Amino acid sequence: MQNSPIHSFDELISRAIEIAQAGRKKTVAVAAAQDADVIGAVAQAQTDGFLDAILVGDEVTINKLAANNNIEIGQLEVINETDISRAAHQAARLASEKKADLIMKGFLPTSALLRTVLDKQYGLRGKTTLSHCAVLDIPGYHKLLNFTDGGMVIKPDPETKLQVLENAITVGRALGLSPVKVAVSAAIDRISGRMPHTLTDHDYVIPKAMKKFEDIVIQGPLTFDLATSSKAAGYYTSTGSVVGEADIFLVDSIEECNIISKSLIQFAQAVFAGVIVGAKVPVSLVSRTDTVKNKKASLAIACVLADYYDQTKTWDE
Amino acid sequence: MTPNKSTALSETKSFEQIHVMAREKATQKKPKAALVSPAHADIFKAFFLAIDDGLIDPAIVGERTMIEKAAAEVDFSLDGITIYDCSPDKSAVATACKMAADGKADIIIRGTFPTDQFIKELFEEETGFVERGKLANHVAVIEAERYQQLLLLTDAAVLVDPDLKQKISMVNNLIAVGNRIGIDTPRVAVLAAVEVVYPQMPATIDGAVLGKMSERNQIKGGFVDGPLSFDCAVDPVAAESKGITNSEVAGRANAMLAPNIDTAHGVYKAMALYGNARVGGVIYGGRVPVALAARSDSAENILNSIALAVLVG
Repeated sequence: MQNSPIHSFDELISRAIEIAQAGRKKTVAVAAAQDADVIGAVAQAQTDGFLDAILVGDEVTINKLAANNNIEIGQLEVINETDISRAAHQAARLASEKKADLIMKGFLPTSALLRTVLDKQYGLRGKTTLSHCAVLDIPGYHKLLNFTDGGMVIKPDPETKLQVLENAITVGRALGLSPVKVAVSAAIDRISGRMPHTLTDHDYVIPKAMKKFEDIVIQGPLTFDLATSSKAAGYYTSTGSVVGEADIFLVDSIEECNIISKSLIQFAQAVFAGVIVGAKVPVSLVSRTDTVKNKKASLAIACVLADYYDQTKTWDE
Repeated sequence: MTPNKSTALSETKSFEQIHVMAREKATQKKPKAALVSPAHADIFKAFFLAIDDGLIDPAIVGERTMIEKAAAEVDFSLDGITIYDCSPDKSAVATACKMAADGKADIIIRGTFPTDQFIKELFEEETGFVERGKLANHVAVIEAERYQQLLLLTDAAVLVDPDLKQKISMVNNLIAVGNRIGIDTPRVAVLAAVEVVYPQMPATIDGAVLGKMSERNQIKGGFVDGPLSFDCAVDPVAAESKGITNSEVAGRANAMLAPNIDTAHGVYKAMALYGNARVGGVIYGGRVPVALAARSDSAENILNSIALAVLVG
């Protein structure tokens, strides 16, 4: 499977719709669906034509929320389950029985949902740690940029950092990128004794990644401006094919990733698609403060990723 | 806490105002500025604009032949500018610090050599740049197109992974810089990935501690709240949706303490590149202020940094 690369939010939505139109429409199982924002996002994706949904949750509340917020849910399947823990298990079961291609978090803690998804009885564990990818469409940058990890892994050790990277590369492949260009972030573009992770990145993470993944170009340490702007490169010593062309911005702490990406969302009108990667099905979570666009993009990227898993038979032994 | 949620009208909100204030200050007493090892055009351009604006009384430190060659290449006249001839790197920084100690420089301007190296030399004990028991940190000022006020941000250049003790001094310096540029009571957000305390995330604990220290008046001159995610710091809707309603800072921060250098540097660059922001930066807390913009910053941003240094000196 080789699709043309996806470089923008609009292309991402189009791809999700194309996949559905090709007869491979994805289904999301929503765990504890009694959440107005979640119901709204799913109903919107369904109207847009790229997603079917099974809402697992408190049916009375779901119907009430839908009515109060003018959300049309007549087309969505509802499985009544008032207990949030059992609802999470039900959603995981639907995914393990291949009745759902992705799982979405509703009205329950993220940690509770992920624990359930990783419960051995469902066989949904992948080969890597779970990590969060925030794929941003930043006006002014000519491609999507995958920030990772700003949502799950707090301070990765070098081995975990490689797994976080592996998950992001998978998303890059699903987006049709080849090679996937990886910038390993730092506040400086050279190894600095003042910044220990520049050393471990250089000595461990980068060589290991180059050996393990054939379809990537990786470079680091790179500053954010070097990773995304070739204009900046003129002032620095760094050159290389990742400079000004990064697809992945691999960071060293959850704070770095979360704060930089949010600054772009707040002040640079960036749209983001967030997804948790590492299990056999993508896990989607949207927050109340996300815009309609962000929620839609998050569901679309989960669909594109789920389809990539199907088409490449990623999880077949 | 006072229920007054509006931002003070008299607060400085733009570099335009910063330049006006800096020029006014310079008319009373023009600060002596030592520019360290300039090589590229934007540095010279900013330096000469600062001279034209009457902001500084100029001197250049570094290797004379290199300076003359670089100036000639970009067509800048060095007439009337004192050059302190010395080797271009280590000894240039030491010379500038010596000038500061001797009262021959009121501000230092970083020229062209790399930040990491510059910082390393500047903070060598022999330079005497930072007095024992004091702390100097980099404070960036960001005027983002889509924010109604200035944002002060620390630390994108000096302190890599500060501990709580350092963070206390950093916040105090942040407030001092705010005060000196015309923000009387800065609203400091201690940034983290989330706005609640998780023991496994040290940045959230430091944020809570600094917030409490502010509440108990251990930190004076500004409001401090934390932990705050970036959106809760600057977006009142986000703050409200997370239930943060009784904060002087949330939703309208004008100063930020980032948990580490990678974060602050990334935000600074993200805003300069994609936030259509005017930026500038200064190292504050040492013997004299140091104008330090990023090397890739435009002449305008370097000039902003010089104006900041003049104002906080």
